[in-house]
Amino acid sequence: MEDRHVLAVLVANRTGVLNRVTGLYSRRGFNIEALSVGTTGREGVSRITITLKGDKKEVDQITKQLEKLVDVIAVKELPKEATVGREVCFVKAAAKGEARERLIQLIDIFRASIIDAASDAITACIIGDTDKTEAFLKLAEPFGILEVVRSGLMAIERGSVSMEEEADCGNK
Amino acid sequence: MRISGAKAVINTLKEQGVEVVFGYPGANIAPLYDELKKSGIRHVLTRSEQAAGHAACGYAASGKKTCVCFATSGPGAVNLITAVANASADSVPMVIFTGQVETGRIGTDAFQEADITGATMPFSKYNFLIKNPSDIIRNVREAFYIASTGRKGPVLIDIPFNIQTEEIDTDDEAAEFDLPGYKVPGNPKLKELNEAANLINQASKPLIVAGGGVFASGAEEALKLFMESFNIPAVYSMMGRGAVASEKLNLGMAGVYGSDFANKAVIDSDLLILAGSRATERTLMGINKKSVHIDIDPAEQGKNIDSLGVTGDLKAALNALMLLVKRKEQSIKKEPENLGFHEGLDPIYFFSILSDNLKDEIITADVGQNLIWALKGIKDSKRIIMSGGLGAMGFALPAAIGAATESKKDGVVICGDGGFQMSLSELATAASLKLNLKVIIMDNSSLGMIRELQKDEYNENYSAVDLTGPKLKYIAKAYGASYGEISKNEEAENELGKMMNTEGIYILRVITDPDESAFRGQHHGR
Repeated sequence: MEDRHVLAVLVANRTGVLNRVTGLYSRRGFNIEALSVGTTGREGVSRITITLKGDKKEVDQITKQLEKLVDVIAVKELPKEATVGREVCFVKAAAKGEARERLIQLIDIFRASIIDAASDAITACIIGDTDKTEAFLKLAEPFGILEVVRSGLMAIERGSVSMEEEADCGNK
Repeated sequence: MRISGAKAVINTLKEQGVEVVFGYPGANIAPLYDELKKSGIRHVLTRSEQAAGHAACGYAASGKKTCVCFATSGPGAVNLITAVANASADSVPMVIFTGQVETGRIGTDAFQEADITGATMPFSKYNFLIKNPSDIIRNVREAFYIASTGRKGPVLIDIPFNIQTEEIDTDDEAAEFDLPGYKVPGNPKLKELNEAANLINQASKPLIVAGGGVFASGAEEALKLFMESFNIPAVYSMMGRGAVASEKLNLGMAGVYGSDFANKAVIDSDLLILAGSRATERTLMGINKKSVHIDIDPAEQGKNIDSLGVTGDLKAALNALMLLVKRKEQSIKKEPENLGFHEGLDPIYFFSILSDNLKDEIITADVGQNLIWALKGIKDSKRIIMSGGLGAMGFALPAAIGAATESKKDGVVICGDGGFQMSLSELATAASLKLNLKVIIMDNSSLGMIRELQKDEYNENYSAVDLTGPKLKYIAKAYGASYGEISKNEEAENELGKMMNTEGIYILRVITDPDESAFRGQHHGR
């Protein structure tokens, strides 16, 4: 069954490592929805969060192909029930006349914030999980969306579990 | 002591036990060549970079060493790409050094600049662009380690010109490996072995599928012992040809080009034991049945066929399974393939006579009809070094040069007139090295494999497959080679006898009918 999965990938921070990771999905035809990258608490180690859709077999294969890369230190599929995830999404929508009021109301309901306002448009910033972002986008659509920028999901396991500790990599 | 980056590279090659480098020089790799000449490491100058890479592959395949090749920046490096892709597809341990423009010029589209690390990323096991001379010794050591451990493969090191000439201090103890993500599978886990043994013990008709991994692991003897101890037969993939040493339990080659008997054995079995085989579409077309997959690369398990994976070295796995598996009581009847030779020149008959004349020569073959005929005519136990995964034309001749360099044995090169014309410049390399190579050219004046495809599937619309070649007799003369030609079955015995007993390079032109089929009723495998 096609399902959404989140993979956390710790990589050695080398030239080309992102190319190697992204090269995998064009070459092997993996269906990746989003990807976010940043440094970690360890020197020389970055973390990539990959959101993808696929069945178990596809997820197993992409995990193995990632693990095979020399610069990949660890790959973990984050368990749905025990993971918190957030993404940042900027939505610029047309906001003229009476529609403007309703758009501001919608932004309030979603506890999103307005980061820019012009006479004919408003840019909102939503921080939440992918479902929340997508729900907002759906409701904002009738207003006329001009532009959307999404960071891709970042995710971390609940509790004291630490992927960095498990992988025992880099210096803190 | 202060030495140049180039000298540091060559010193590290010596430390790694490198005896031969295959390559082609150029301005941006000149410092490395300068030090190579002083080092005593042998260099084989091929007539193109691609041939250097294929020769290196032949060298690695015929021995147990990691092969090394050199090329300059830009066109030199790009010419190597086919050979790097070939080494990747066939898991050949290879370390490639390419020159690069100076660090300050990288990214400016300078003369003879090409992004070779970017270009080879999808089909090298790893690659480095060295931007700091103090990384050289560590990176070269890491490259040899990565290339030769786990699932073997090509590792490319791109070194800018100025990094080769800058000095480094060898008194600084070279840093430890810095490969935090590189994991080499250890011995197979007991849990996996036990589960595999259970499946094997429950099965009534288990069948081994032997692949190229048998050679990579050096598991030929272990496999034979396993098969004969437990009475379990095997088929092999093209890359696994020659890996099944048990004659009575060897059921032949499976797959698109395999025998009906071997393919039927696959279908009739109730458990496949994949031994160092990727289980590609070429070997196991559409087969998905209960399987145990022993492979050093866990990513192969479950990729093409669902299986219970045993990860680790094949030889270690087979040795461990010796204690866990029970003997099968099954009678195995081998049926020889009835090939039914025809009059005139039957290529399979020709190769069966060649087979009778073989001693311990190393055989290399190009992709195409010539390979299929050779596989059918030459006895099972003979390994044929080929471009298996990539299927590159023009591989056999340079690969034979590399193999002969390593083994000091005579070589038998099997190619078609197409593949030969892609690589014939290497006759000069072979002649200058005074090698004993028997070059068999299956000459049908066409690109036979594609012609056959067009005949069967494109209404005989022969598009771009007529191939006019040079007069091979004069080619032989130009390169100082002996020459013979045959066009009838009756001539095979005499000519082959003559060829096998002639020193130096011998070119044998075997004139075949363009309508001669490689399949004889089977389907095309694309």
